[in-house]
Amino acid sequence: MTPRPTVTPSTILSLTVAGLTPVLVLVAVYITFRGHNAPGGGFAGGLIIGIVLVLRYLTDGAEALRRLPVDPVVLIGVGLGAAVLTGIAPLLVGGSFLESNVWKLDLWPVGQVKVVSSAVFDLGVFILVTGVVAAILVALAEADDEASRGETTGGTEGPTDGPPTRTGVDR
Amino acid sequence: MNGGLALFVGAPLAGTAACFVLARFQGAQRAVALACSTAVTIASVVLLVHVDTTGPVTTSMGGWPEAISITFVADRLGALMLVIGNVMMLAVLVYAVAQRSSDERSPWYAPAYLALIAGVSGAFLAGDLFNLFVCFEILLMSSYVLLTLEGSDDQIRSGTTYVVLNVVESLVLVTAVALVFATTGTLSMAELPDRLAALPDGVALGLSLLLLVAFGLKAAVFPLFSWLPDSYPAAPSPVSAVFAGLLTKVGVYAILRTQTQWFPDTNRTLLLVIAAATMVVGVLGAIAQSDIKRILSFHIVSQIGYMIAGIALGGVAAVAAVVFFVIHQVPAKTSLFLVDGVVEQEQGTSALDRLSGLARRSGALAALFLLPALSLAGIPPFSGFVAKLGIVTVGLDRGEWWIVGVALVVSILTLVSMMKIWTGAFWGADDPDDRPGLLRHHPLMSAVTAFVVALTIAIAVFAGPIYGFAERTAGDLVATSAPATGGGAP
Repeated sequence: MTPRPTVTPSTILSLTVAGLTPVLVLVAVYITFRGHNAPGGGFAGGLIIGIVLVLRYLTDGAEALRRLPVDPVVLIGVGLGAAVLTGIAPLLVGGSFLESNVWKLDLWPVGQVKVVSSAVFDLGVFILVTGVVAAILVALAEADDEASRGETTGGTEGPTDGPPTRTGVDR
Repeated sequence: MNGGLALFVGAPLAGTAACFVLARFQGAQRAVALACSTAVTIASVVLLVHVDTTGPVTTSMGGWPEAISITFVADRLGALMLVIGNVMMLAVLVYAVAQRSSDERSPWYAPAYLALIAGVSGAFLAGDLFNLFVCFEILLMSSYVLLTLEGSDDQIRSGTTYVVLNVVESLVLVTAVALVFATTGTLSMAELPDRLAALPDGVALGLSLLLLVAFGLKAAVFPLFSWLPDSYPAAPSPVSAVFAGLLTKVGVYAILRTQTQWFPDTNRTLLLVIAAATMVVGVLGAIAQSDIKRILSFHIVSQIGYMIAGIALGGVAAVAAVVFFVIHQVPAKTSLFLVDGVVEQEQGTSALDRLSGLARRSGALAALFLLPALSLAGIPPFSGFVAKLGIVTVGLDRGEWWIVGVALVVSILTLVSMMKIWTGAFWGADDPDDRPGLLRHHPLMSAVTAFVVALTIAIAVFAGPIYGFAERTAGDLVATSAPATGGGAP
């Protein structure tokens, strides 16, 4: 089942995307965590995951989005929640809003690691942006589904789509 | 209050997050939204009392020194606007939950509404110009969602205008923010009055005009108002109620701060002309319309003119009148839209030619419309009279006869257009085609409307103490501005 009956899947594209996906995910995670003191951060990282989703959508069609393990709207909530709670948490221990704590840990194989609590904020942004891109794609896919259903019911062939799957929260 | 102010933004945003996670559970979403809004409202009242008795509260975020950190400041004006805003948003939220309109049943409604609360609260507490810009963006983003939630053709069309204009506004504002920083080296609202006073006149004038364009677009002053009567009526009534009551007032609040504290005694004539044009064009537009929501939307524009007139006149007395005007205006305007919401839900329209004799079917609802309508027109026992009297008195003292004349004529025209709604929708014979009996709606809807109307009446009854508070607020504002020669209060 393809999003549009006229588009034939391209093997080259599928294989390239399949190979690129793990690299992109790795880059996204790297960009997110280097963002504390260098260019990058959760927003850029989330957008790179967004690129992965867009590529998957191009190769596998709406099916790729139906396979998403979580509802993108929930992702938005979890990400925003993580970011806001990183802001509120320091208030509970007598700090100020969004204040960051730094821990230096000795982890045996990698040596000393500096852990900052604001990394959770970046992680939240990362999840949030991923969720937003996914939610937009789901909305586009649903519109695509409707359009192709319209085409097929108008044409001579019978309907090819099954019942619309609820990947996101529709209104 | 260490960090407490940040919670006025943080708590609603946390609520937004919870509502996203609970996207499939409408009941839980409603509970989170109501709990969050109630908590913020109660906290804002506590804050107002605290600020009024012990002075302004400042919070710096992230443990950074105040000069470079994001700051939230609650002075009398900010805390007052916070209370007004949150009380109205809570009231409208209860109304919307009771109404269960199609947009309220959307899983996006509660998160967008809570984000709106965060944005509006943040804008009133912002301690620096960039923070103000960010909070404007938050409230704009959520207003885009709320405005177009039903996704009807009409909403998409007017929503496009609204989004494009507000993006332009944001662009102008962020340019102004950058230029202010480039010329003064700070964005802190506390330091800006002195730094701006040290600038050459031409530079200061340019900055003030740029900020005036940005905030004027938000406040819908002439000639930047045309988006408002176009977009607000397309939204469902509870949404347009909160937009009508609040969003333009955020713009007025920003103009009040910039013109009073940062650029005292500049652009007075320009502002007076803008004020007069806003009043006249708004009210003439209202008279020309034949739909309740559109008439009320044009009235928003017209009433903004009065506030701008007060800001233009300047000085403690005028600013106090503006503050009182805002206090009166927000509940009055909101309640009119809430009444319209009941009418629209029952009749399916707010077009005057398809409505008739509603007063025969629900006298109480008619009264709930008539009281704020008369108040808005400035008829004596009501709060609108006190508000307009304040501005007119200052105008007479300054010898600005023409603005007083315009204000009074516009008052009469306001009454005329309100009577147009009254005779068109509420008066007259019962329409035989209509379903008989009372206007059916959830009792909470009329209870909320009655509560907001009661607020407008309470403002009239307690006009003395409230005016006293408005004068203290104005005193703060004018005192913190640089050499305030215009402060010659009578």
